[in-house]
Amino acid sequence: MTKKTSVLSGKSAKPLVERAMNLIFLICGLASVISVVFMTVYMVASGGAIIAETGVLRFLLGRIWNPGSSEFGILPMILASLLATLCAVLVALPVGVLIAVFLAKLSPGKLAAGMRTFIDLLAGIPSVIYGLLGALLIVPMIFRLQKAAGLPNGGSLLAAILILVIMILPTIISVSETALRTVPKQYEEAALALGSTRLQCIFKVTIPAAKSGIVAGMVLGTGRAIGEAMAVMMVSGNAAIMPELLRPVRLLTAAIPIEWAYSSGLHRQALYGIGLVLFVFIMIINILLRQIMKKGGAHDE
Amino acid sequence: MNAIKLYTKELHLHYGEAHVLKGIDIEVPEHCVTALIGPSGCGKSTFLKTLNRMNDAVANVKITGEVMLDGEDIYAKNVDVTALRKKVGMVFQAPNPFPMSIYDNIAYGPRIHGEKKRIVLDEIVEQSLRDAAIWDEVKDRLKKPALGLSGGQQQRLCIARSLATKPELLLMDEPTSALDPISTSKIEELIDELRKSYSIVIVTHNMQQAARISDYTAFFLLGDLVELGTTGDIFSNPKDRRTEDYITGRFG
Repeated sequence: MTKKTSVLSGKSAKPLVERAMNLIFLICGLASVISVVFMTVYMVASGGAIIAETGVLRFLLGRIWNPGSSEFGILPMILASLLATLCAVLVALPVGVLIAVFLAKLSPGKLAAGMRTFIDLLAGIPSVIYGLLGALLIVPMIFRLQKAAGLPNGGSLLAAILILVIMILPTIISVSETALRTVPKQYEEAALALGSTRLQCIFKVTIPAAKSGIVAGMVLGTGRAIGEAMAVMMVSGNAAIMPELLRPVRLLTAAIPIEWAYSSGLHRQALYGIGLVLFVFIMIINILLRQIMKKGGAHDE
Repeated sequence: MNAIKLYTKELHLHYGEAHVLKGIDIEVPEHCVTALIGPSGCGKSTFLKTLNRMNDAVANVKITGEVMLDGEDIYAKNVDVTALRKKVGMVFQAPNPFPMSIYDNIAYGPRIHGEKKRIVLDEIVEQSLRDAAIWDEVKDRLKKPALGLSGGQQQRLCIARSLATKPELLLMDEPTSALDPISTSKIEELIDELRKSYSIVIVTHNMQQAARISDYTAFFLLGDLVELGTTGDIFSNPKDRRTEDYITGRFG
C-alpha cells in the first residue's frame, strides 16, 4: 500500500505568530501612508489660509514681500527657486552624464572604483558644509564679476546655482551610471560590429538606451535642488527681489527658516503658504518621476 | 571553385593561458556559404570573431598569424577597424536590434558612416529590408520600435541592418539557435538568396543546417581545423576519422 500523508492540521490555517506578524507589518506600512496623508492635509490647511486671505493670484504673482506692511507676494522667490533649480540641472546633467559614462564605460576598473568612493562621499556631506564651502570659495569668486557689472559684492543667484550643481551631481552621476551599466552588452556589440567607434557606440546606442534611467536621475536631482535650503541660504544673499544672475535672491526654501523665529500671525501663515507652494512643486516632481519610471519599465519589455 | 575572398594562415589565438585557436589555415570562397561546425568550445565562434576583429576589446587576447581579406592583412597596423567592420558584417546568436525604431535600426550603419541624406537613407532602408525578406512585414511600421517584432523578424531585421552598410563578407554566429523552426527555415531561405551577392561564413551547431545551406564545411575540434571540404564531401565522404565520428554522432 502506498503511504498517504494528510495535510490537514486540525488547527486554523495560519498560526497565531504569523497573524500577529502580519498585523505588525500592516501597521508599519500604514504609518508611512498616514504620515504622508497627514502632512498633505496639514500643509493644505495651514498654508491654504493665507492664500485664501490674500487671493491665489496676489500671493503667487505678487512682486512685493513685506511682512511689516502685510504684503505677501512670493513671485520673486518662486522665480528664484525655479531659475536656480533649472540652471543647476541644465549644468549638472551633461557634466553628470559624461562623468557617469566615464565611470561606467571608459575608465579602468580601479580608477572608477576610487572615483565612485569620492562621489558617494560627496552625496553624504551635510548641506551646511556645502554652504560653508560656498560662502568661503564660491561667493568671493563672483565678487569680481559683480564688480565688473557695477553691482555690490555679496551672495547671488549664480552662487546658489553653482552650489546646487555640486550638490546634485552625485545623484545624477550614480543614477545615470547604474542606467548605463544595465544597457545590454548585445546592443554595444551590434554597434561595434557595424563599424561604430567606441564614442559613436556610447553616444548613439548606449546613452539613448539608458535614457529613462538618466531622466530619472535628472528628476531626482531636480527634487534635491528645489528642496535644498541650508546651503543656498548661506550663499544667495536672501533679498526677496526679482532674480538676476549676479544679484542676491531669496529661494522659497530659504524664506521659511530666515523669518521663522520672529514671525507671528499673518506673517507666520504666509510662511506656511510658502511651504505649501514648495510641497506642491515636490509632489509634481515625484509624480513626474513615477511616470518616467513606469514608462521606462514598459519600454524595456 | 570561386575566387578566394578570405584566407587565414597559421592563425593562433590565446586568451591568457588558454590556447584557443591552434594554427588555423582556411580559405573562404566568394559567393559561397562556408559553414563552421564542431562541438561547443572548439573555437569556431572565437574564430569567427577574429575575422572582423571583435576580439580586439577582450582583455589578455593575443593573436598571431595572418588573416587576409582580398589580399589585405586585417591585423596590419594601418588597418581602419571601422572600415573593416563595414566591409565584414556580423549577425549574432540572439537577435539584438537596438531599442529604436525599425527605420533607425537599419539606418544606424549608413548614418555612422556619414550618410545624412534622407532620400538615400530611405532607399538603403527599403533595399536592405527587401534583401532580408522582411520588407513586406514591416513596411507599414517603420517608425515602430524594433523590439515589438517577433524573434524571427528581429533576426531578419538584424541581417538587414548588417546589409545596410553594404558588406562583402557576412559572418553569422549561430543565427537561428534562438529561433523556432519556422523562423529558422525563413532565415535559411534568406541565406540561400544572400549567397548570390555576399560571401557568408556561418557558425552552426545544427549539422542538418550546415548540410542544407552550405557549399563548404569546416570541422573544428579543440582549436584545430580538422577538415575543410565541400559540404558534400564532408558529410558523405569525410577524410578524417574524427570528422566521420562527429558527423555520424559518435561524439559531440
